[in-house]
Amino acid sequence: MDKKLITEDGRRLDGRRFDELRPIKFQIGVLKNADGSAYVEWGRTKILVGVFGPRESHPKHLAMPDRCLIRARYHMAPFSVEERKSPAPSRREIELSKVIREALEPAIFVELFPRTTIDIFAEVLQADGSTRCAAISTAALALADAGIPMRDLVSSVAVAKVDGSLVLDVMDAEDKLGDSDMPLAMMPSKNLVTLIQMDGLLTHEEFVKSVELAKKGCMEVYAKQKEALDSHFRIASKEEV
Amino acid sequence: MSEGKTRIAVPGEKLGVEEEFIPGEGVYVEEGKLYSSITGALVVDPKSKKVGVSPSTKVAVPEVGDIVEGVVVGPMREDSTVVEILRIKRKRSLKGVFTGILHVSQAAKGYVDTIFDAVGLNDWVLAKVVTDWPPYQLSTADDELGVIYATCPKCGGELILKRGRLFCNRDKTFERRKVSIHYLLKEGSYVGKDSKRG
Repeated sequence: MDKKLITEDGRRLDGRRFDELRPIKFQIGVLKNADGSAYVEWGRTKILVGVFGPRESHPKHLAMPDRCLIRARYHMAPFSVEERKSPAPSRREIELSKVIREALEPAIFVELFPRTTIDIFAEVLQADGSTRCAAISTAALALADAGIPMRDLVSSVAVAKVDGSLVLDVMDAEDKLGDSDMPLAMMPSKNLVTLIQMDGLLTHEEFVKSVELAKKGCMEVYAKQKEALDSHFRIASKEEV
Repeated sequence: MSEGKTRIAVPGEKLGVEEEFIPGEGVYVEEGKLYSSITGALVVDPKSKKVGVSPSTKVAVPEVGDIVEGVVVGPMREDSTVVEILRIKRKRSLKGVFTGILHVSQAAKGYVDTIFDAVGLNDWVLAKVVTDWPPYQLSTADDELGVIYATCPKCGGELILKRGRLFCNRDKTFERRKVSIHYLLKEGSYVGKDSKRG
């Protein structure tokens, strides 16, 4: 390999330690026309999420008599990557939409809103790795902003193996040049995993370590999510008074 | 509200155990433990031992007993018609519409022969929600419920409330409706374009 991803003193390309997250900044209630919304700046990854619903299902045959339908759309803006990305949904985006939906669904009390739909739209404005994790964590906040009852928030982070060591919160260069990538999403206060995927190869031991590292990262993301909700709604409740 | 005292609970936050509190609004129980299901200020009532979360934002879904505002979109059948729900009173604005159904049996307190005696196409109505999922069944059988704005089916002019019935000033005809006490255009107070011609 021409370029090393990890320096001699154990730092990564952007100067982070192995188990360090990038700076994360959540903002809640940024879209007026959506029922709930959130925006995140996760290092250089920027994602905007809008949530609509529960609203009546269209087309109506999709409605389920005992629960609400969750639909998710993950989409990358044409300007989100270095070379223009076609705005048409790619195979990858369709897959990510599915995994994002399935990562959030266990947290939502779907049975409270029969025959309705909740739509989640995640728009990646700038991509620098871990976009699915950032989208899931941000969508959980947008759902909370919409007032949709949930069992728990969902926090997510990815772990990669680069140059033989496991690192937390994968950025684009590490994803492309590294040996493996493992995104994990969980309901933090319930300690339940809702998404786990893996690219590349890990030994059994490395896998177990990766999961532990990802869980630790999720708890840090969870703390940031709670902080964002707390400060947003504290201000909101003050304005009401 | 003092700044230090309000605690904002987030979904999934553990609030206590079943032996401590009775779950209130925005709280769910799982394996004997109480968790918040929404975001909002934590409300603990030491007297009734109730813990609840007062929601910061509430979903806008019609529930039984809610008063809703809508338009009769049809199709008009003998016994029922479809009402598009556009607004739910005391809830945030809707980002779409919900479908409601008004049946003759629920149109008024007394006997109504057909739905044409209660509402007309394109009427604005106030109604009460009777069932908990779409298509929502509606009822207009109350004084404050019923038509609040209607136009003449022949000329399209606005109908005004005259001696308890709806009257078209241009055609000089009465229309049969289940009128709400909140009907918008009342005789005397009405200053629309048709009234000038007398």
